[in-house]
Amino acid sequence: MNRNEVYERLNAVFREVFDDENLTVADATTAADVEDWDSLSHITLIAAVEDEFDISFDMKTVVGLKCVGDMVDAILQEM
Amino acid sequence: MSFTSFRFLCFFAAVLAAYFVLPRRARPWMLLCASVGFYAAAGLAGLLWLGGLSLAGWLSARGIAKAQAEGRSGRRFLILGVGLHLGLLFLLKYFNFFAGGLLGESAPALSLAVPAGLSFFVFMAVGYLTDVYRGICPAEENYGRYLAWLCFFPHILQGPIDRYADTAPALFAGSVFDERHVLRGLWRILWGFLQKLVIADRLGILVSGVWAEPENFAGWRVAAAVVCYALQIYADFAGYTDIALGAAEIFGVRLAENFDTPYFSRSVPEFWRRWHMTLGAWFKDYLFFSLQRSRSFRQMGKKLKARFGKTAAKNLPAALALAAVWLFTGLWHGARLTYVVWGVYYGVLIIISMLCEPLVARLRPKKEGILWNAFRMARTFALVCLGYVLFRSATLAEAGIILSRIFTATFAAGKGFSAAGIGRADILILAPALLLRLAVSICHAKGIDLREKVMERALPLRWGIALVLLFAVIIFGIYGPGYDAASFIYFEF
Repeated sequence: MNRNEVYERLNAVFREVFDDENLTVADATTAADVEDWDSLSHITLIAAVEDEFDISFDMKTVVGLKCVGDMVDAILQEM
Repeated sequence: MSFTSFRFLCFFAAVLAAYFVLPRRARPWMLLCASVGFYAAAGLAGLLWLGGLSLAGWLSARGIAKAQAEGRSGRRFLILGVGLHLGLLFLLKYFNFFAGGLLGESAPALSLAVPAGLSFFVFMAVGYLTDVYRGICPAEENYGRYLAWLCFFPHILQGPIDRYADTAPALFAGSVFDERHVLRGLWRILWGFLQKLVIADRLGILVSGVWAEPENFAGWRVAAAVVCYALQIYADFAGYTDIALGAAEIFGVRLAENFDTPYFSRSVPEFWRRWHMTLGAWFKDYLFFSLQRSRSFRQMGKKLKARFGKTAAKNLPAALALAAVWLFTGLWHGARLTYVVWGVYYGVLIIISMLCEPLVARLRPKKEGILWNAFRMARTFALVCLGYVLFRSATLAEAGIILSRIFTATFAAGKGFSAAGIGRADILILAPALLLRLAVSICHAKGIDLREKVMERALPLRWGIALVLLFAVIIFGIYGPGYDAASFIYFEF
């Protein structure tokens, strides 16, 4: 799976978690750019991403994610 | 040894002198000796508990690291280490409370003294073990270094609840003498003393006086005393934290911040992100996240999603995890029913806030003006004050009396504040001190680093500020014979 394919599925996850059909994320997107992306929804998002890609992040990875680009790197690494 | 005692000032001066006289390599070890001596002053029994627990924590972390190096998870060592720490915390702090609650007067009672700062250093150690298990920080190889971090005297008694990875490297580096570190630390220490001795202890006289005999005062005066308690506990705990962070800064160690102008918060969840931040972060990272990511919670989420849709799957596990966090947050403060109810009160408020967020978002004005934000701040402060009635009261009946006085005898006849032990001179000192506290908070909220601004000024002004703060504490502070120096509010937790 390449980066673009990851983004295609990842955007669908973001739209579902944050209830925003127009939401599109990119490498530089951070929690500050997405309304309602707080620590509570972060864990919901991580669980949804893990389910979507059938992977499991360890806590070191979860706390180290600073932007969506980091998340995509972590997904590609886990797959 | 309280930070506001003369003994501590002598101790700190001696440690400071010895620290900078010794060669750099010896400095962390010198701090270890000083911290052990500092903790021993609180009681030798406590030192034994600390020694035993720290050894258990260090060995457990080594066990986790060794197991993981061999390809195993190390989970057994984590459970053992965390179990020992939390088990001892339960035994010493909560056993009598729960045994009494379950079995009544026939319950066996333990008469073991609770070591000073137990809740704080147990949480730091549990955080360290979890971080080692999660691969966030390496297991410390040297027991002395682990102990030096855990019992570092600025944070062991009342926090902040530090993370090993954030503070240990600077502690072990051995700082060199730097006027910048010394002055910034000194200002912060003196500012902490001013908040504690000039503001908190003076407000404490009024609060204790009203709380002791609320029936003597009109309801509005009791309500004013609750507001004064809100200011007292902030000045007390933030004052303590400033002394701790300032002392550590002189040694080149930056401890975690605990406050971010909490009374400017516009919602209760925001208040808890800005008040006692290291405790909130601890519960979030080690309890809330652990529960939310546990297999049972995730399975629950999947089942809820299939049956009731994604909103239920998102909210119900989060609400359950939040309920657990707030029950334990209440209990963490002490084995007392009022703390448990206080924790439940915040749990309910925060869960309601989370569930109502979509509705509130629709009702919220598009442009958030000053009036709207002022209303939200006042509403949050009122809810926090209501919580303080429970927090300050020893029993639910006492809290009930305070609330009933406020709401049923609001304008009844009663005594003036002077009957609570506070005089006109006290008010004349408190008013400008509180205004100064407010001005500093506003600067902080606007991102202005006041210490950095003063640091840019000429040398006489830099040291002059320290002298002004020192004289303000000496002239306007409450101390001396009859003053209970050990009475930092958070000391009892």
